[in-house]
Amino acid sequence: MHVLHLEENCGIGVAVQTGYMYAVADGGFRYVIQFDADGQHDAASVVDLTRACDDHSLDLCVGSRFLETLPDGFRSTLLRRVGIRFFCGLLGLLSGVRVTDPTSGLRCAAPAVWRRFARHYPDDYPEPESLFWCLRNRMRIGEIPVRMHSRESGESSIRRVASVYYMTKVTLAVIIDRLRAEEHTVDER
Amino acid sequence: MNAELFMLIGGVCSFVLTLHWVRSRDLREKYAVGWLGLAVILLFCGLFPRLLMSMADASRLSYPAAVLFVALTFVYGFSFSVSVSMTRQHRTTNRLLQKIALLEERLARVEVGDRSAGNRVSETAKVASETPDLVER
Repeated sequence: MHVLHLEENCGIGVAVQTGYMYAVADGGFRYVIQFDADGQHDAASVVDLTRACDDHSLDLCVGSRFLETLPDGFRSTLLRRVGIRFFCGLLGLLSGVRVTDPTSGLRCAAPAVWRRFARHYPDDYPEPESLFWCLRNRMRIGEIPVRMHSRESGESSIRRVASVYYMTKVTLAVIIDRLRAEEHTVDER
Repeated sequence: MNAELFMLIGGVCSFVLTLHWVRSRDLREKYAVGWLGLAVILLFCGLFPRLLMSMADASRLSYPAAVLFVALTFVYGFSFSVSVSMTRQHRTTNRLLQKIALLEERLARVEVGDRSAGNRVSETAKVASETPDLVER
């Protein structure tokens, strides 16, 4: 097991991006999995994610809490679900693609996506924004139903006051990203 | 105290302050140039109130309002450029921290490999060349 240690707390985006940079430096990986360590995610879904990527040659596969109603799955609080629905609408409106769980941090990325994430990744609250980048640049995106748990320890980076900033920042970032030119990435599969 | 005198005092103060910060190496000359420019403008407004008054008349503003307008424009431009350079600084810092983390991890692995089998120290340099460029847009 390899652990990357960042000297300062630079936020979730920078930390996750360091993982993608590790994959680029190593060069030996096919897929890069993003997985929460606080007990929310189920290790068994990793296999399903990579299989979905293989079977449908996806560039990014997201584990969704809302695709199917699974027994005893944790589906966040009511207020958060409203926020998630809002981002579904926003991303659908601006990209024409329907997604069900844009804030999910359980994802499997193929080279076209993780190489890009190693170069550019949002600083804070990165999931909806980076997902939108994939949608906008015609990456092949898939979702599979997963069961999530409430976190065992720690707290979310999105607290009450911060949630207003969160909604505004992510909405602004997605709209501005829509105004950027489409990037042409080389398909590396 | 009238507005012209106020401008004069403000101009002299900002001149002295700017020079003081540069002297103590807390302000880069690059930024000092801009602030000295502001000081000069303030001094001019204080010394030659006619200049600004005629400008104020032409744009139908009162003298204090014209001064405020000029000052605010300047301050807005400056704070904006500070925000931009802070963003760049932030990105550079993050990139550096990320590279340190990657190099540290690699070094730890190389040291373990060193103790057990081969000598692969030369590979530590590889990370730096393979990770994305420091200054990214």
